[in-house]
Amino acid sequence: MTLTVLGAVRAFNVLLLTYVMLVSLLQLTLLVAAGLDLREHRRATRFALRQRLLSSTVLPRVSVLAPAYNEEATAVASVTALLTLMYPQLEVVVINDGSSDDTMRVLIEAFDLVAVPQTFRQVLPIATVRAVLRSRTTPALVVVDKENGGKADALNTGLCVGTGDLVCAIDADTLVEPDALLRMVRPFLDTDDCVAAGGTIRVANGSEVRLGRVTNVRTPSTWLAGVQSVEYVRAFLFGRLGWNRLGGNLIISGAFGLFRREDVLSTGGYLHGSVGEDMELVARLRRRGRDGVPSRVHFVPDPVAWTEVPDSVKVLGRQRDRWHRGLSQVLWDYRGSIFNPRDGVLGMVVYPYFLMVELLAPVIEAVGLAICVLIVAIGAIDVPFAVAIFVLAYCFAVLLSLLAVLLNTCTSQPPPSRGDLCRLALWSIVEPLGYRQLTVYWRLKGIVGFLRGRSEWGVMTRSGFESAT
Amino acid sequence: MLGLLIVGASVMAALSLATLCTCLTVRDIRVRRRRVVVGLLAARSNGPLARPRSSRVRRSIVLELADRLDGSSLREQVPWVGEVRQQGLRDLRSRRWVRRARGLRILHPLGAGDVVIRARLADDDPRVRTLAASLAGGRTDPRLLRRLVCLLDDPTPAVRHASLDALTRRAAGSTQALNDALCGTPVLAPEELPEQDSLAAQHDSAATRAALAAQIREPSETGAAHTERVAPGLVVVNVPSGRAGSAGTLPRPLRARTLPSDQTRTLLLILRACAAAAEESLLPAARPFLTDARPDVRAATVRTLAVLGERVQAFVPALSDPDGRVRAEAVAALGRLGARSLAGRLAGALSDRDHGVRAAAAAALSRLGGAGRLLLQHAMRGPDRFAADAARVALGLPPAGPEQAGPGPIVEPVDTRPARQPVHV
Repeated sequence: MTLTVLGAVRAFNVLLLTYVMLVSLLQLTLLVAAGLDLREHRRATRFALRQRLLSSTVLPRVSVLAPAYNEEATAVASVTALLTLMYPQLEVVVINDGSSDDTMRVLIEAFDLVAVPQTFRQVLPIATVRAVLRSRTTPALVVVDKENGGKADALNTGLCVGTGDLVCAIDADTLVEPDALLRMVRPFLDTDDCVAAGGTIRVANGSEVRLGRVTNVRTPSTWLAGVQSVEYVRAFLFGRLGWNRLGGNLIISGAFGLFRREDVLSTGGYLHGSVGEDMELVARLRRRGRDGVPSRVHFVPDPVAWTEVPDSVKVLGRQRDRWHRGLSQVLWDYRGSIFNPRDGVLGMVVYPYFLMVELLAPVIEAVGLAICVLIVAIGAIDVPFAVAIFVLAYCFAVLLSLLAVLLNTCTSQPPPSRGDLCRLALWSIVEPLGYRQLTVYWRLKGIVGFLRGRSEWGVMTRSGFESAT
Repeated sequence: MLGLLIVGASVMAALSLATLCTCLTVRDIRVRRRRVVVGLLAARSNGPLARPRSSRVRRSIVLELADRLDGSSLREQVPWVGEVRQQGLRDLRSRRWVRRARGLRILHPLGAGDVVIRARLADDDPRVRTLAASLAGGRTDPRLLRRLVCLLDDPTPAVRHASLDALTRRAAGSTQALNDALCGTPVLAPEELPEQDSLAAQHDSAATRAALAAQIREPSETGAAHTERVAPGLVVVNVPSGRAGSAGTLPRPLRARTLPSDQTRTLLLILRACAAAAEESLLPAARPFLTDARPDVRAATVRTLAVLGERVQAFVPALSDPDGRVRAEAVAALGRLGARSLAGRLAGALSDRDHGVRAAAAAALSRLGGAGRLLLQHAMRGPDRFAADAARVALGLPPAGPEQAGPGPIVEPVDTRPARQPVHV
């Protein structure tokens, strides 16, 4: 019996080792691609006259869509920050998604809003709009008061009401850099086939925030926010940047993304009831590439927006559970694209990667941990060999994180302080121990939740930027 | 196997440590460079700036100051500015596009004028052409503007965008070139082709003269570029072949000299530039496109003609155009031109089948003043709710009360037309 178990364990070990080597190879490829893309991007933008664009009359008009649900405390500061973004043709559309607090009242008082007739074209199915309000003092501001319908519904409302050629979808807690739109619009000017662009999101916990702007960048000092900041740097600076180079970007963060409005409308807008609506939209836009329709998605490596990450294990667990349910849903909906040569790089590399590495990694890691426990229980463990494998995997994980931190050091403006850099390195060393295992648990919960058909978002509580100061 | 794993783990650990050290070093270098620049700039009031050892820092300082100071103040405060200028000239002759872009960026604030920029508009790298077009904004040299008009047909979107942007900033001088482009006659004269680029220059400043004089003293190592003083203050610079504008690598639009009016994208950009130029002399060339088969072109032509000051009767046929965008543009144009005699036709457009036309009609009527506003007040009481709401918006009135309100905003099915091929600049 023991021999049979040992045989099975050995076979699994070989499989696991092959899997780990393949994943490591892919990650190294992504890292190299990210480095090359970053170099190319810096060379291309070093001499660009970005400020000159501010006085341009030929830039596409941008509508910033800001869904707000119970944002009474931060609404005025957030909207003021959006209205003062450096972009010549800007419209800010705030969508009050049936808030039960005084969000509407504070907005009306702060911006002197008055109701105007609803003359927009409702080209997407949306919840009932109670009123469309415009500001007497700030012509660029439009506020839509509607029944609660969720984030996708709020964004679809913004798509109908907004008049820009491009729409920028943001989260309520996103802090956008003043020149972010000037940076993000570049792929739309540089190429004919760009339908969407995403930018780097950084963690704002621990940094000083004043009037909706990050004024003093600091690395978070708490464990949970710290390890997430490393995770964000890794995800954006070599995950998405690497895929950018390989032409396989599939995710644009819901916290900050720029889309060509007409393309989003013609594909049906955001999907109602989806927990991964941002990834789903990009997958839908990219699928049109099969028919030869422009469908390129770009990633801009400049730091463009800041977000507050959960600082409690419970809230973070809910967020990761939801993210993984969203990923599962999208991969299930687009299963026809996996290993489909019609989708090119997307079908042959990206979808299989997301399936085998992003979606199933927690399953494989969990099975590996269970087998470890099993072989320890039957006393068949080769301790030195197991320790060596563990140390090797750990060192590789730390190396990848530190290389991402290096890319971050090269791009951060201004450069981080020595203390912040050392703290980020410390979180890179700590992150694989404990935190990663926690994410395995949350992601497994997400897969189980998807299989059971759960589709709720879960309550997300934030401590707010002022207290993060 | 165990030994191999231990070696692997040791290598990973060593690499991690090395990465960490590199992070700190990179950070220190960036901070130090920043401090030097800031320190030197702060010490400016104490007299001429000391010469930094790093050429990169020297460049940063000159770029920082050149936009704010005139030539003589710059020479006074930065005695080593000549070194940076010479470096810029060397960069312009480089085979690497990054260097050429850097050279252009350095020389531009130092007074390098139309000559240098015009030559780079014919660069074989689109990134350099884009930068040159960005720097060309606001310049008045007709030959430079003609090249910019040609680049509206560049295969690279960024170049087209930068050229259009530059033309909208100072389009008046490009009237003849835009006229030629619309008529399908050559925009560039044969002698203006970049491969025969004898860039006779009436230089803008002493700085440029000095820069080009420096080039005379320092012939190119390849011998491809040479300059020659032909008269006091007039220098001829031959563009190095193979890097900027050799026959084989010349950008297509400059090689062709004539812009293809059958290409919608290019034509739309030309019409946009014409609108920016706002010169009445462009009217005869633009008018024929009012009957073009392409609705995009017709709509853009209506918009352009309205800016150029076309008579109002010319827009009447466009009011019954089969395409909604053309009708909307025609309605907006009549509002802009104050066509009071056509107020009745505009009121009729309030019940157009296209909502864009109705909204444009309401806005146009409000611009007509008295008669238009009366017609809007009448429309507010009409059975068409969208027209009534559009009229309220145009008159700046609040929404109708609930007893007058209809079922909600205009609901339209999701657009299921085949996805378009986008028209970009």
